Amino acid sequence: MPAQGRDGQNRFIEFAIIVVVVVMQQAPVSDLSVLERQRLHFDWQQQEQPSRHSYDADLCVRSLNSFTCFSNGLPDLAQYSMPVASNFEEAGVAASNCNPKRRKAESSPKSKQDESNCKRGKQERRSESRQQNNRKEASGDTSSYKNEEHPKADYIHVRARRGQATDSHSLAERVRRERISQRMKYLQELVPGCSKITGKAGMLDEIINYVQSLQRQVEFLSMKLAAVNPLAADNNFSNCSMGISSEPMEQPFLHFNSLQAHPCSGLDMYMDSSSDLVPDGSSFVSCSALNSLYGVEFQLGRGTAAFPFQSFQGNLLPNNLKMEI
Amino acid sequence: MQLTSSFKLNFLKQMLLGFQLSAVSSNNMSFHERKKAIKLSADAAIAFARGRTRWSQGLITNLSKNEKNKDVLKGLLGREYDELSKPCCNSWKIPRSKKILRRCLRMSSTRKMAGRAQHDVGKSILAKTLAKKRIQVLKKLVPGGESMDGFSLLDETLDYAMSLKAQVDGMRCILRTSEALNFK
Repeated sequence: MPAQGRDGQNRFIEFAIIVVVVVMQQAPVSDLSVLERQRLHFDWQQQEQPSRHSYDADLCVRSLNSFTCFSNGLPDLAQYSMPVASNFEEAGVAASNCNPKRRKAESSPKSKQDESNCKRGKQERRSESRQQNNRKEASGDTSSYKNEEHPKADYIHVRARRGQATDSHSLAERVRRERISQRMKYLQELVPGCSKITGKAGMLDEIINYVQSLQRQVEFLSMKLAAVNPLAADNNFSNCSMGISSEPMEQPFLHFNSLQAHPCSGLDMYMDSSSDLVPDGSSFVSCSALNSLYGVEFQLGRGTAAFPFQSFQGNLLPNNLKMEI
Repeated sequence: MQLTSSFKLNFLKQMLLGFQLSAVSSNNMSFHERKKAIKLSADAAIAFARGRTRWSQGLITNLSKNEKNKDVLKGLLGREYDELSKPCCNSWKIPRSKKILRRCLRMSSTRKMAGRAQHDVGKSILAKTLAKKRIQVLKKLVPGGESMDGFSLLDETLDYAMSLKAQVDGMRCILRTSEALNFK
């Protein structure tokens, strides 16, 4: 009995450690595509507002959201480019139709900064025009929404590009289309295998397929987890939660030897690198062998997920096979 | 949203707590009940780990519509439950008549395309209706999506897809390790 008890204890500690380590190691692999996008966001943010020092991912999304409250109505005024923190009087002057053509001539070829200026400018413009003109749709929430996002920048104008109509409607259309296309680009990075597809409808199709397949995978995995032997599950789940909440582990690595003979992919490599590990939570991450392991595991995970689908006797989900491979 | 390891850790922790709370491992649950409980824990965990976004609020709202789930959710989320289960916007659907919609679309599109050639009108209307149909489908997929407009819907889809991916990876990881330990 005591041997079994120790065995059970070993098992849950192992399980807890494995889960913790796997989680920690998953971060580098999946962050890659996200990091680029975040960097783009970050650079863009830094360009626009050098005063904003803290990079907050939530702020990024929120600022994106604030751009989305963009409706069709627009004032009948030409748009101009101005530096970021220009004050309201300048904006008021610029609001008049005095130098549309000169400004247009000055506009440089389209760049990312221009685009971002355009977007920000569009938003700021709306706040100003809101105070001046009657608007077509109720977008008061946009100005308040925006105000809480950008308290420091008063005003940005949209630069009318050379050779294009300065009609406010077409400008609004263009900005809206650019925003949609930018989001489509991000989604393209996220959804695998979408770089070749152009066009909104096709991309939306792929996104829909991807989200549906992910949801089905969740269903399927929960079925598989439910099929796990309940006795083992009892040990694993209850003890694992205890194990995770009591980081860092104090009795780690003596028990890893028992995992040597596992058929599970990648655990052998994991075991070989266990000698490097020191009983300290942070050093989990530092083991480079583990990084490669989980790179492998992810690729394997993509491929081997097809097999459980066939072994499951209940609902076969053939669409998932397509999505996986 | 960044897929940080702390996010995943939070998710795993919450999910396992949810398993405990719903007593998944007890023998007297049927297979389907167990599966539903597992899915509930997983969804609640991912919504909790993500924090306050529209889709997470929509998800919790949808989950708490079933009375039985409420206890588990409350226990799992604690204080967050009240914050997350508030619907962020009105979730009523505007009853739309197809005829009126079509007429509106035609009028607005012809107004917009006053300057363009006539044959372009048909093409762009077609493209727009196609895109609109797909946006409607997407609205049904993303939790809480019906009350969002086009832009925020795309943002939320992005966020939701990333967290779904994290959820799938986390569940797969737990499955693999529990299977590995069961082989012993």
